[in-house]
Amino acid sequence: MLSRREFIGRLAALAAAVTAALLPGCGSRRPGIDMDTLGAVLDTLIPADRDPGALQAGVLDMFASDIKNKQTPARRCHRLLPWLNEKADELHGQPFHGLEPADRTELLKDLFESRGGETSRVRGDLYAIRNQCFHAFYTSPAAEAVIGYHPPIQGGYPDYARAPAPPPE
Amino acid sequence: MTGDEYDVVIAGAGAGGGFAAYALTQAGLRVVLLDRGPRFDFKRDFPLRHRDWESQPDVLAAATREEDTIIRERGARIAPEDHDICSKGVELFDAGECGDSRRGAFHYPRVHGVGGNTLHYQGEAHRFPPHAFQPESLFGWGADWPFDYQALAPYYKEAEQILGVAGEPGNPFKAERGAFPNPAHQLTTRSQLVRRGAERLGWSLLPNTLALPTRSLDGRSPCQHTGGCGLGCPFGAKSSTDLTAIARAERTGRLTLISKARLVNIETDGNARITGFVYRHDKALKRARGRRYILALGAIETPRILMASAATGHPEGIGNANGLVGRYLMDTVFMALPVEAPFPVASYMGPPLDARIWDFNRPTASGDVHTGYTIVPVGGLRDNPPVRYASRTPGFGLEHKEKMRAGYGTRFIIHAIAEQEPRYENHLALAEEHDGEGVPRVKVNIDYSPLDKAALRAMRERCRELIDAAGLTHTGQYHSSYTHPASSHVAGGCRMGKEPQTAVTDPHGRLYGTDNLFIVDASVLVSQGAGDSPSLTIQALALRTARHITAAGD
Repeated sequence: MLSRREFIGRLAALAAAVTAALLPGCGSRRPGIDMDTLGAVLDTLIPADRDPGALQAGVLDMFASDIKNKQTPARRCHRLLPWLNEKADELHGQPFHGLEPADRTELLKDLFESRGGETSRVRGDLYAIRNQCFHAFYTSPAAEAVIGYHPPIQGGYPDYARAPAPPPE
Repeated sequence: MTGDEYDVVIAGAGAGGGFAAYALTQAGLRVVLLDRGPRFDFKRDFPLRHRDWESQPDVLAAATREEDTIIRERGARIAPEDHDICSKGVELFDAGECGDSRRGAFHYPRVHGVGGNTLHYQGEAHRFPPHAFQPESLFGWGADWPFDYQALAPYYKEAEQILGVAGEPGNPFKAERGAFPNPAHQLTTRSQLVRRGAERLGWSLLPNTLALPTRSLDGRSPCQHTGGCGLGCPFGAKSSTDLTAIARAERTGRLTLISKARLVNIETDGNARITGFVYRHDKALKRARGRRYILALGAIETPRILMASAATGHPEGIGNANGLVGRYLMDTVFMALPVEAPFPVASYMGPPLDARIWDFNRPTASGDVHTGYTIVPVGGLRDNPPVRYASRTPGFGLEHKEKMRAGYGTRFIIHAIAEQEPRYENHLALAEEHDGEGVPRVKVNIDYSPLDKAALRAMRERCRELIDAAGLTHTGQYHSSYTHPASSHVAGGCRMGKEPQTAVTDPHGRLYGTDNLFIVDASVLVSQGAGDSPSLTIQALALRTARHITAAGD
């Protein structure tokens, strides 16, 4: 018997898989945007653990749609992703998406914490992508699995009348 | 200028105006109801219709205005002995820190729209306790109402039926009563936690009485516990006036509702009869005529339009021969302390004010001398937007995810609210500046009496005790109304009474000095109900006034 949380996690993963199947090689249809690296960034910002992460929640597809339709997200990706790949190559001899999770985390952390003018633009891009990732994730059904919150849905909540849980002793 | 003739002309489609329209149309009268704001459609307009509601326009916040009616000036300098009840930004002053600071400007958030403030209220539907009608006799301050609780009780009951109020009888701090139209909401997790603390202190945290029906009413959904009442209920479950009394009035076929119609002047025959309401609609000035007129614009706008409509026979403003229009104004005296629970309690969910502590609503209950107050844990989505919470939580990755798991849904507010002592000195005054319609704006002159300050101090201490007893963590932040007035419950300014020398309206809301002008909003309140919310009392008074009008029959 699946718990509610597990069910939602699997549902989100299934939705992402179906979307990926329907949009094969979505990165290749947007020349200039490295979707592999973008996916790796999103996966680092919200990785999967016992609950879905950004990729399982379909956040990459939301980004793909945004990049296709809006200039600003595309411009940010155009600046940030090559910079990350260059830095990853310099430090580890691999593109960003080829790094181990710990190395990706370290690289993003260094960029978040960097100071000075040299990285200010890409740091700003990373902050914007972080917040956009959080927005996409915490407005998706996956949010319920992580924080219990479920965004309002058309037609109402099917279980609104359930009793609120008592707090722990 | 064109004009139509009705039996009754009402300006203001909020709590009072909507309920008056309901009662009058039910009695067979033709009514026109004017409101300066738009009519909202919950199926289309409110942000919670959307999954990414935090990115959607907050239409009710956008419709909450005050800037064109009030002169916003900072208040009086704060005396050193009052530093302990002042918040600077979000922190209480420590002794000596205050310097030469002054009180903040009066803030009066009022929704312009059909439904008025019930569009953004949290659905609290309180009957004032019986003692709140006799503060002068029982406690020696303010004035007694011209009637007692029992005179209003049948109208309270009727208003509760229309709203589908959910509640639980047996509140020992209120008058005895029968069953509510709907069973009470089950206490949210956060309130269950706070209740443990209250019980340790010997206090009672009781289910609130809410116009958030727990069963379907008039074809609308029951409350779905989104916690987003203040953003506009996306399911139309909250019993705002537009969905209840006004909708019922419309079904009679005798109501003409004109939105985006702003009252700019009241015309008289030079004597005691009102002859027209002049309003702006579609960029044109129009006139509505009727046999009776009702003002329901709230405790700032109603006195303002009366004072501003000075005319032959009414040189000081209509109904202001005794100079009392705009006097005995009452602010919202409150102290708010943000807290964190030690574990997630889904503080964003459920009715934002689902429970209250009424133990201190009788002014002398704690042995101190102050006005009555109540304490309420406040949650809800507006203060807990998940995306903003995620964005403001530092970091990323697994660590951030854990912070979200552990932190989101832990924050809420312990809020205490008192009534303000009604005093002649607290008043509105017309300013030299005018609004876009050429109507003078007003200055709000409100200071706190020793009783008000005593209430603030008592509330601060009771809130601290409750926070400790419930195992909550006080974030160290405060919001004190003394330094940052945010008056959602402003009242008075046209108080009712038995004598024209000491009141603005008679006990049925008729303006002294006029034959056919009535008031059915918070301005007629003589006191504020010992920390209770005023909307149900305004609605009950509106029903009572409307029944008086129909009984008069002319």
